[in-house]
Amino acid sequence: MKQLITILLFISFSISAYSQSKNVTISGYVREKGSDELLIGVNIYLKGTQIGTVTNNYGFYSLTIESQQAELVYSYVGYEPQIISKKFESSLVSNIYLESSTELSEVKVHGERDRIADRVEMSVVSIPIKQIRDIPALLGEKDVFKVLQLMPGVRGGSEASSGLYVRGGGPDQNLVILDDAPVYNAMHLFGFFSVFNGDAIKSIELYKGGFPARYGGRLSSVIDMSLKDGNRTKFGGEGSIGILSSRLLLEGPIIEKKSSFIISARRTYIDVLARPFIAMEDDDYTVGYYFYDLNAKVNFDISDKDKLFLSGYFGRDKFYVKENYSNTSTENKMFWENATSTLRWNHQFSNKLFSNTSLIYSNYQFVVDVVEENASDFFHLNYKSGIRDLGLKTDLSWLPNNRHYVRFGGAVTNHLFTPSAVVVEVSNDDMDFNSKELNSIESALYIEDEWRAFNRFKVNLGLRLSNFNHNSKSYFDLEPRILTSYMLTDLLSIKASYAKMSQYVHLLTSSGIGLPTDLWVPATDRIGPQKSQQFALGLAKDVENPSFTVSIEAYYKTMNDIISYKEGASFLMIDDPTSTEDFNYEDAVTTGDGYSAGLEFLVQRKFGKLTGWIGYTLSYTKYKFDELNNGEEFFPRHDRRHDFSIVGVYKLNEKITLSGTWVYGTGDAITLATSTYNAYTHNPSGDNNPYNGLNNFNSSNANHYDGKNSFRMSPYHRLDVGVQFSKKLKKGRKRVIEVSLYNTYNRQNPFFYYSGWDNGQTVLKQVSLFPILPGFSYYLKF
Amino acid sequence: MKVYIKIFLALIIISGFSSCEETADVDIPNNNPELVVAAFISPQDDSVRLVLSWTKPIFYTTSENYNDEFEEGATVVVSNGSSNYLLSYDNVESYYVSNVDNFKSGDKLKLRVTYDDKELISDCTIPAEPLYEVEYLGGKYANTGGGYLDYVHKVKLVCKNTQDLSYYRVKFEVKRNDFEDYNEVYSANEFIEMSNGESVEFQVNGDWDNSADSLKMYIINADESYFRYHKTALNQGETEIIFSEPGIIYNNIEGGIGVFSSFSQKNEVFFLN
Repeated sequence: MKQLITILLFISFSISAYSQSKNVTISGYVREKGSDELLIGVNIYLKGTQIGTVTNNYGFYSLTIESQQAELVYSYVGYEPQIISKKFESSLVSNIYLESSTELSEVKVHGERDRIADRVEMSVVSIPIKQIRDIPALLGEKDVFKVLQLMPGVRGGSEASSGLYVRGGGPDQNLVILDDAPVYNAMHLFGFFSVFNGDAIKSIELYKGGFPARYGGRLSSVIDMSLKDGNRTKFGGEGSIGILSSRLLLEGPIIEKKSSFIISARRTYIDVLARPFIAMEDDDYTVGYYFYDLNAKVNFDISDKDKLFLSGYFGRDKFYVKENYSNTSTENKMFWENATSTLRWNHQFSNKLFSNTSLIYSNYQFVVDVVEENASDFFHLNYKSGIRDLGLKTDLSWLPNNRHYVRFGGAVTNHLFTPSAVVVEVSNDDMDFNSKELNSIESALYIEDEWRAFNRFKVNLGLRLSNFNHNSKSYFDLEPRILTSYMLTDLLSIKASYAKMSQYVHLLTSSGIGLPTDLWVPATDRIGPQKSQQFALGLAKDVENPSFTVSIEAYYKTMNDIISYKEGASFLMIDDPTSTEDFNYEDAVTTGDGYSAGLEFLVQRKFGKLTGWIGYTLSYTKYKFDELNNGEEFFPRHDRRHDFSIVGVYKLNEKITLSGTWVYGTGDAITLATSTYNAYTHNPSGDNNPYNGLNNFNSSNANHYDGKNSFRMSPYHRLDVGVQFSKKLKKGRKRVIEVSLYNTYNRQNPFFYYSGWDNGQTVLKQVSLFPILPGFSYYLKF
Repeated sequence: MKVYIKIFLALIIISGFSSCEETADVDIPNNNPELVVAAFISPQDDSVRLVLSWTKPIFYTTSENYNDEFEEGATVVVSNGSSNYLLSYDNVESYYVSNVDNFKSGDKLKLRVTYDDKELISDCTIPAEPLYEVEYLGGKYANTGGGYLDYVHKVKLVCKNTQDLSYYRVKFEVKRNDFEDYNEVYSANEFIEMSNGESVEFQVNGDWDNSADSLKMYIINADESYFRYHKTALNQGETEIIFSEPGIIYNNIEGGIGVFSSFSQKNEVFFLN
């Protein structure tokens, strides 16, 4: 509490010190010209100075300057910059419309800002959505998570998985939020695709470290995504057809310039394509799998100072088998679904104080449903597990002068966990088993101030007070956050950050794969919260003509009380849901510590004909659990010494865009049995002499491992290439045909190993998942 | 465009025929046989026995051989500070053995095994005998899985050993009215770390129709090596399934693998009505 009071006093003192001179405030919203889409993260600055600000997540900005003749620049990646040159004598509201520019020339971008050197942020990955669409993807299915995996400090799980491992942390340590709502299982098709349909996403930011105080609840990363608001001036849409799925997006005004909607849907059709072939084999047997998702959003301007947004996401994966044999019909269904909904109210108290209040709902559930019936018997089993969140969150932004950007607010969330709920109906008899639900409350208060202390020195000071209550156990934590930036020159800065994070909900997950059975559970008195501390130091450099950015960051992160399944345990321990012995996840997991250190290098270019990036990560991650690996340190499976990626998108001309990615990574660390032996154990109830050790022996064949994850798989590398053919059609329509090749040189990357036979002797066999695979998609914008 | 379509179709066909399984092109680490030790020493016993065998490499072998490969040519010495005991190989039982004066709680034992240029070293400390209170809490029918009712007995154990942490192993057997012998039954919490005054309740399954006339309880206070070795070895045998992390068996042998450990045991019998 002392820390909180100190920071509050510090902020008030420093603010009052700068509030003496005659100032004017320019505020308003920045939108996209033509669609009126609110733009997030637009740079607004006084030309030739360090004075500036950015639009918030709702497109709002406020900049207080001394009354003077000045040039105010509005600059945003992929848009024509706009400059207002006038004498600013009194406060004014200035709503700005930026024109989208698909191909900014070098001349236009020269001298304009999308600079990283003068931002008080580090360890943030930001990729323009337009660029994500140009990068080749597996089977042509664009996936924002797979693009994030190409950035330094971030790696995926197993081949083609959308799982994210950030700076040595596991996939359980990522906070994925869509319009303020947490998404608990962000995977389709057993992890091969993320649930996010890029068509409907407006912005995506990944924080790997240097976390601002407004974020919390996970140790390793925050992935903050915003849905588009929908075109406010005209109806339109876009759609695409691919090998696996098709997508359709519609948007338009409800009341012109006041309200709009957007709706976007995607569905796979593997089941539809396969159905005729399955039916040819056996009329009484049907098997199928599909997923679909739906994003929708409406917004409404209540007044100049009040806006409402209602957005939602629903996605479901379904796997089903139907059989009809010997007068008995069986229908087995397994589905998992995410639903999120956010109602947000923006209110502008003044030209310096902006608030957003969100009512948040999020639900994830995994369901197995089995029905078997014939003329005399009926059996129905329904198994459910999941998590449901209901939350309220308020965030306020206060910009008292051009040296301070203060954010404060709070959030409270009710988590309802259902680790396992089973209903069985057997011929008119109903039974409920283990329908225990776990209730908990998570809350947080935060304050942060982005303060330009000197012209060349900026700091973001923050503090987050978090609390978690489950049963009678209550946890509190104070999480200080500090981020500093010092401009060595106009284009070069040195940055440093420190962040402490607490995580009160745990994900029981099997390493390397994203399964729907992954289970969220609360911190309890036995399994407490996970905690981390991260230090980072970096250099950020902007280069002009040609324009690109260079960043180098070193980090060190400690992770405490992280969880893992015990050796031999897995989600399959939940194999008998009808047992009266309570499923107690605390018995299946163990806690330990870990650390990760790394060096990340990124050269990125977001403008011009050739865009993309080169990224390299050198990292070293080790875990230590008392109950794993005999208590000795080990590399987690996702430890990767070297990770290298090159991403390039080249717009050859108006019609043709070429793209390619090449990735290289050190092989996964796995546990490999190299020999076997008979492991003798003492049998306390032996008959001969109960006190004799070896007379009362049992023995069983055992595997000998040199240590946990002490063996490295072969390095992973892959080249993907793609070409897009674009054509402008009549009435402003546009068509894009994309052809791509995944794993162009057909590298046999290992998915898993097993011991097999070859030429009469046992050898290590490698199974690879994806050979060279072509992709195709047809896209139409109308 | 036709050319592109032809190329595209050709690539689909090529990808379909691409091999997805092959012999891995990686170096297999430490594929040489290693010596394996197993010894569990009790202060209630007047002899020490030790099994010495070899691991069998998995890779680049021509047959799967599950038989033990005992090593009979090693020199095995166990000492307790005051005496050295040279264990001799018993060809019938396939282990090394020596009579000893009964060891006492707190005795520190050292092991030294030499074979060719190999030297294996380990040590252990004889634990105190288990001190505890036990109470039979009764039984009732309960669904123990699969929808089947089973008669479940409950037994409470309170640790009275005074050291900071005791490593207990507890097993149960049931003798049914119609059987002559005790039969091993399942109970949770076979391995428990406890301190003085801590208690644990055992739920003992296996007496499916409530016809047991007695329940036998084996209570072991072990040293940490015995405890961890048994916990991990039994865990690997029982739960090595897909998606689970492989279980690594505890090892306290320097220069080899296996365990050199000790335990102290007591038994209790509950006669049921």
